[in-house]
Amino acid sequence: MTWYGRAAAVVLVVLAVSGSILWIHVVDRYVAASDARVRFGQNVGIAEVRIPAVTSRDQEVTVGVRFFIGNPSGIAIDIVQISYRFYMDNLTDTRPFPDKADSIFVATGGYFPSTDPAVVAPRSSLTMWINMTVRGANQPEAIERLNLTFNGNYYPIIDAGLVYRIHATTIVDRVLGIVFVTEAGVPPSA
Amino acid sequence: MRESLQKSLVDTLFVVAAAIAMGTLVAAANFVDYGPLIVLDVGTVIIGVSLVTGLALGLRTTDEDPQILILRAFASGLGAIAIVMTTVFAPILAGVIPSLDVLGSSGSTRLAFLFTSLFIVPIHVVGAVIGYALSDFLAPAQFGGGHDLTEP
Repeated sequence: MTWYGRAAAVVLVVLAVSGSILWIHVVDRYVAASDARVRFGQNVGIAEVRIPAVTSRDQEVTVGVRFFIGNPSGIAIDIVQISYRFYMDNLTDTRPFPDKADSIFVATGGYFPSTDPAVVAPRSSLTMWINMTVRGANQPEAIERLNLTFNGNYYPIIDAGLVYRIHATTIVDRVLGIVFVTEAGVPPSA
Repeated sequence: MRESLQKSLVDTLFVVAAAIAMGTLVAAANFVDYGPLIVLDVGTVIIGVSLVTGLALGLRTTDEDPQILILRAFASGLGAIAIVMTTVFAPILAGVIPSLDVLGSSGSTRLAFLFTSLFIVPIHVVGAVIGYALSDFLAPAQFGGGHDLTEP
């Protein structure tokens, strides 16, 4: 074989090997990210809600909402933001939720990291307390709606959304309709 | 007989290598959103890699008819397109998603991948023809080439 034939063969092999390395990396991430985008939404939820007893109209009440975030995929996920709308159900109002939503809305809460977002490692999960504060002095209507119990229990309704990024990529997606509804009620926390 | 079989196998191996080189690099360049090891420009890769691999394939072909080389270049170009399309549908082939629609990517995006990768074939063929001409030029004059080794 001539010298340029050998050189051409070497170039072909080098390109094929380096291309294969790049390709395996990209395909691995593409498949893992696709898996994450399909399954992540089914593994996000609200695990617990804590509402302290409201004792005065000008009280500052901090409501805790604990989110469960599971990542069954093989690639890490950055939590870009979580936001939620907090409602306190009025059981005497028998209208469907969309009709009475405005009248039972309390406040919004959320997690908006400007830097260093929370990261859910591959095949792991984390829980996050995301608090919301209602200041009775400034939000008299909100504290009034919050302080609504039936048989000593609160009946909160939470509608949350989550924005995430597949780690080390520019793929950003969101999960909507993370809902918390309780039939048994939530007793006031200590 | 054994030599010709061996030569055919080696030639096939290099056609496959050219297809792998073009297909994998073009696919990696198309999926820049997924954090590749090196960010590559799609246009540059399609033109550059197709031309270089074509040249290499042509340079290796010294004692055969040019139409054989053209057929090989076509075969490796089509192989590269097959690799690009396999990459696009990789999550379905891996069984992690039922359809690409769940990822929100439109059909036009996938058609764009296919359309851009189609450019591999003509550029690769042109590269192969240039490589063939170069190999003919570089070959010693006593073997029918244009490179006269007897010149001082």
